Amino acid sequence: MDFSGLNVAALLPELLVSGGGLLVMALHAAFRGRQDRQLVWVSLASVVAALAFCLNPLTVEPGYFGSALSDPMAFAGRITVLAALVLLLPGGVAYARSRNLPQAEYLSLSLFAATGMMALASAGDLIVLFLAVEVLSISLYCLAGLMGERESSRQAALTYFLAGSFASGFLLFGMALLSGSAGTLDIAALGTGLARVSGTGTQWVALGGVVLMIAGLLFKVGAVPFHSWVAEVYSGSPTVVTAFMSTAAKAAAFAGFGRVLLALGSVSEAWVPLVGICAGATMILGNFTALVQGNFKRMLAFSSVAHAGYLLLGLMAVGAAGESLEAVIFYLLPYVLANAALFLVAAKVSQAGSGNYKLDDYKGLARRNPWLAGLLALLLLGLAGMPPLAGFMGKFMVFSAAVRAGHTGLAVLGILTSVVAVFTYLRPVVYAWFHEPEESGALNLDGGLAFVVWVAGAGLLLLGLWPRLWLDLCAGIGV
Amino acid sequence: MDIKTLLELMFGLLTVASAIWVAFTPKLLHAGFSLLFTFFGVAGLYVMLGADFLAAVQVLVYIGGILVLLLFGILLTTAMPTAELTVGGTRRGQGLALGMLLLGLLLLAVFRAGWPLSMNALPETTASDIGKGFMTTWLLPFEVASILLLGAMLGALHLARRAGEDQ
Repeated sequence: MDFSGLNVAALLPELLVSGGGLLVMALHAAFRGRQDRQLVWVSLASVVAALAFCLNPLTVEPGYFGSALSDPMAFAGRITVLAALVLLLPGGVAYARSRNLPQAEYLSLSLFAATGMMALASAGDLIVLFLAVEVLSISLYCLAGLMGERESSRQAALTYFLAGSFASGFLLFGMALLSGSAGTLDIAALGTGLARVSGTGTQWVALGGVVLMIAGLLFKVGAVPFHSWVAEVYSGSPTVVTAFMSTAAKAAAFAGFGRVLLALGSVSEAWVPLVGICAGATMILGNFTALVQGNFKRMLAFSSVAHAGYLLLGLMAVGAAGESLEAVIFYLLPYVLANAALFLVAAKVSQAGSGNYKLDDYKGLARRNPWLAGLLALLLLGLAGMPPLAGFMGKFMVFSAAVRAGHTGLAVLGILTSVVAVFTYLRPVVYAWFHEPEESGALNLDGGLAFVVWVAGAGLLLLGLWPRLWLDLCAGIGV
Repeated sequence: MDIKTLLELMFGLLTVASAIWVAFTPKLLHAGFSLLFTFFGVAGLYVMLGADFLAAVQVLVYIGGILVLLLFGILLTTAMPTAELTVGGTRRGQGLALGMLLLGLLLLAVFRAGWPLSMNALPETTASDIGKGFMTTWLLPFEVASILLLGAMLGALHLARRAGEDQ
């Protein structure tokens, strides 16, 4: 047998992260849970090693006979997922410790979920794509359930499980029809396979496959009309898990989604109207629903629905000739940084205030901790897309890609809904700076949270001022 | 009508009829047992299509493993064996609309497709090719599946333990 196509090194980041998860399980068992405080360092070490190996030239060749790719999308997806892990794992462990929840299981499942996300971002064939989606979904269902102590958390886990399983059914059925009609499981070859059957009766099978698969993926990313689970799951799950779901999992899903749509570019007339309607509806509904929320966590949940709409708009541009995934790649990293930090800040502010994520908790935050209030404003304005922050560059690239691809109407809709989003994101900022505090006393951040907030803020500023740094890195690594 | 077509029709009918029963019976236990016939019918269809390995896996894993586990789960949970499910309910309209849409899409695909036949002869057995595939081209799915099972097991064990006594 010929093993020259194996190139295990291409998969080193995934292997390191899943190995970290296994090591955490083994150490937890070996020390009978007495050394669980140290396990977070083991996990972070495996994540940092994986980050280093993402830059390794050995990972540039595709591995596992084409199942694991190393293009810019795979690189950006891996880095984004690993960055989210670095920001979220310490906070998650602190949360688990303070509530006497299992730390080792949290770490292992997070690392397994991240393995699935990274495999999804670099999947070269449909089988790996589906298995990766399942690895990340099942790990997240378990995380949502086991990190919770309240009834709402179990409810969220169950809702997530049911909605996710339903979506997986659609996804798998669509894949079966699509690969059957195209005669290949290789994602990159789907386009030529479909071009071969176009005009014959088989194209109807392919059409069914495309529609079902896109429906499954829309479900997974929480886009309208399959968004109904998002609010309940995101607001019911423990905040550290919600942050992971809405950042890393969403980024990975969009990476996989983008790769499939890129391959289906040759049959774009079949799916562009469908995705276009969903993108428009998602932008409108997400932004307007976020605007009226009085609960910060629900506001972030709906804002992440809105961002899914902008990302869908970016993916639609991929269908047109010559557009790469660059806009989507760029959009993801600042979105993940800002959201991860905001969810953790939300947990902290809520804990110090009402305990149920009311927007009123932010009143007078500037008096109690001006640095935190300033960084909160920076992160929220970054999400809103204010220059010179990275969110602006992301939106600018997505909208201009959409215009170049001929979707001017949707781009205008995107700009208009972004204005609505500015109001949404400004409300907590106004509360923090121009309202009297309801509670007095300083609100101090612990070291871990301060690190996360500063890193996310600096990342938004850096990526906004020098966007080419990140794009060139992505383009240079993936060949 | 030759014997092969007759068998295919029989297995198809068995699958569809028992699946309808699964969906519409209000008794959970009946649905579970009816699923047995659905799985068996699908296994029969696999055999008719020359997928011998897949048929064996279908019987071993779905009937022998998943279904038995499902029935145990129902029978060992108090109040579950006699539980009456609400079939339909408030969202009947939505479900019907979605189902009809899906049915229309699939019927369109089924009847418009020419279903071209491959000129290659069917392989004698498929197991050895599948085995080789798992160790070469499809090595990564094989490994990712192991992470999937491990994660699911870890989560399930912990969720079950928390529901019972602590640790």
